[in-house]
Amino acid sequence: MVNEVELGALRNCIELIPQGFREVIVMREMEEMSYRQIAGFAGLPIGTVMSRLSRAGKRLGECMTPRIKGGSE
Amino acid sequence: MKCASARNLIEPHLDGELDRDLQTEIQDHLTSCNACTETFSRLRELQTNIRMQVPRYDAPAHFRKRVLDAVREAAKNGAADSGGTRWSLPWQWMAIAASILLAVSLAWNFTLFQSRSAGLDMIAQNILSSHVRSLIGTHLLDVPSSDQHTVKPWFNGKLDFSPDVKDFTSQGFPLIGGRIEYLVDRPVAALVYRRRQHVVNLFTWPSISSVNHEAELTQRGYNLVHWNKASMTYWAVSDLRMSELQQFADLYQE
Repeated sequence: MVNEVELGALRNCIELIPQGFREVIVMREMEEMSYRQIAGFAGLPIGTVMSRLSRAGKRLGECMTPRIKGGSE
Repeated sequence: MKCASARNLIEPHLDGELDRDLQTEIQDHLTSCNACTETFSRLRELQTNIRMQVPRYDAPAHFRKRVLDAVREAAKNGAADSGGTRWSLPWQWMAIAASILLAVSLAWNFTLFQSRSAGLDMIAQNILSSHVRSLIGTHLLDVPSSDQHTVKPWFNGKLDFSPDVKDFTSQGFPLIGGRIEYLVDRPVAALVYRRRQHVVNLFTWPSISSVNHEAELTQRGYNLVHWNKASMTYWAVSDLRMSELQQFADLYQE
């Protein structure tokens, strides 16, 4: 089922992307921290948090696309 | 606003991090730019998937707080002890914390995921039983009509939603009527279609999840196609071949 495939792919990909990307995704999407909170906690400038989030999203997307293709879209 | 600068603001916009002026600017840009709108939709889908399909782990919230507190404390002490060299970067402590939290969330989500999958199976069984009951009993149709403009209003006042009733006579799936079923703890609409001598029941009700997805499954020789779209859940069930049932589902979703 696509639901399972997508969930599995997402879980795998979160584990597979580089740790620096994983951490900002976890903080943003699961901990619901704001950019400012993430920046404060990580000791990074807000701009870096933003670009890291952006690259993390891109990496996740790239990782998931081939894994969910072939499902019943 | 140019695409290049808009592109960098799409994510902060999705995350609700833009001030009002920038938000207005990006919204204006999105209404006029297909490429950026596409990026926006793709990112929103990814975000929805992360947030919805990897549900938040509420139960170990106390655990999460403990980890974060401990790490903050350690980061402070570490910085003092080592004179700001080895472990002084909060980033490194944060990395450890995030890894621990991620491990917890993955373990927790795996459990949630299994129960969700069991939930889907249970709904499928209910759907199938209802389909079989409709075929062997006398209760296939409450409103026997091939006219979608008769069937749709019939549901008015009987349900807390209005199902989208479509007829596919010209594509070989004529509408023959509808009825109300009580499934998954709520009244749902059943739309009934015919394909040669086969009956297709299409069950629909408002979805709890806003995530669009689709699934096919086969149980006891019957085929089921399930999809979520525009906050409605759909289950099509029949003894038709899966390819034909999928064709029906595609028609309905067009």
